[in-house]
Amino acid sequence: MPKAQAALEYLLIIAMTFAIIIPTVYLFFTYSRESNIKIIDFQISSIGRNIVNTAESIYYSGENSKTVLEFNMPEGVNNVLIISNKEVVFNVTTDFGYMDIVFFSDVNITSNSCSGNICSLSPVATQGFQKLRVRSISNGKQVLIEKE
Amino acid sequence: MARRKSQAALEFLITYGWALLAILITLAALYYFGILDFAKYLPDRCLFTSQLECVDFVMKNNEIIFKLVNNLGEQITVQSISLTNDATPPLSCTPPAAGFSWNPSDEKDFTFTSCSGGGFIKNEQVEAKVTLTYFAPATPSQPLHAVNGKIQGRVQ
Repeated sequence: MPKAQAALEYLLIIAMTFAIIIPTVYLFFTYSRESNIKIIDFQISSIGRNIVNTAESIYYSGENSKTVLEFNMPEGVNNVLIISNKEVVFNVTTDFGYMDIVFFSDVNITSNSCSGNICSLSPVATQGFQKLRVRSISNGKQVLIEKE
Repeated sequence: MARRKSQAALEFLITYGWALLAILITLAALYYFGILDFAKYLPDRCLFTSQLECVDFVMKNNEIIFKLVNNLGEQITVQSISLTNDATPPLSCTPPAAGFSWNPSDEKDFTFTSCSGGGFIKNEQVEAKVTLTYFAPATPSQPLHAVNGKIQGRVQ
């Protein structure tokens, strides 16, 4: 009889432990996944704003001005494009699916790999530490953004 | 001797096999009645990118209404907006009219009406995936961009 009681108590404790652990683990993973999406969004927003602000600063500084941007590219970025010399577009894949995070420049920007009105910055689309050189070209009328 | 041992082993397996079967049936029943669906214990939330930030939302009377703010710093034109989820059959709603201009820093209400399917039932937790496409009229080639978001909440 005491053996059976011990076995039952053991089973009850195990069951209660699982009843607490399983929902907690599920909630923790759900929150951490959504936090990860937010972190990637904020990181890309910071990089995009930095690129656009630096390009504008270089443009207004005039011909021959240049600078180097350093940043950590987060995971999930498939490509970085400059469209119509105005939009810096990050193609991103998250748990929400495939989407664009876009930044608009008030100055004429380009890269050294263009096809039609689409210029690529794909070399910096890989996760990790990246450097971009931003310099004024075409007698100060355009800003070239390229991988350092 | 060996025969007695194998009999004991078989009896052991049969006894615990029944216990295991009972546990599995109990778990299946709990899952069927939604007790193991822990997603319903998550708080209501509306997640979009910070560029089109979700300010507020409500799900009630066969409608899903959410408010987004244009943080892009540029006027855009919304080309299309749709909403669905992973349920069978999926959530289906009549989308709001698209093709409107949206100024920077402005807030817009998006009202989806006649929602059905996808577990859209009063007092139930529902998840909806939103896809919005837009372009910037100031960009010469006007390329289309897609933004995805997620709304999770209880239908009132």
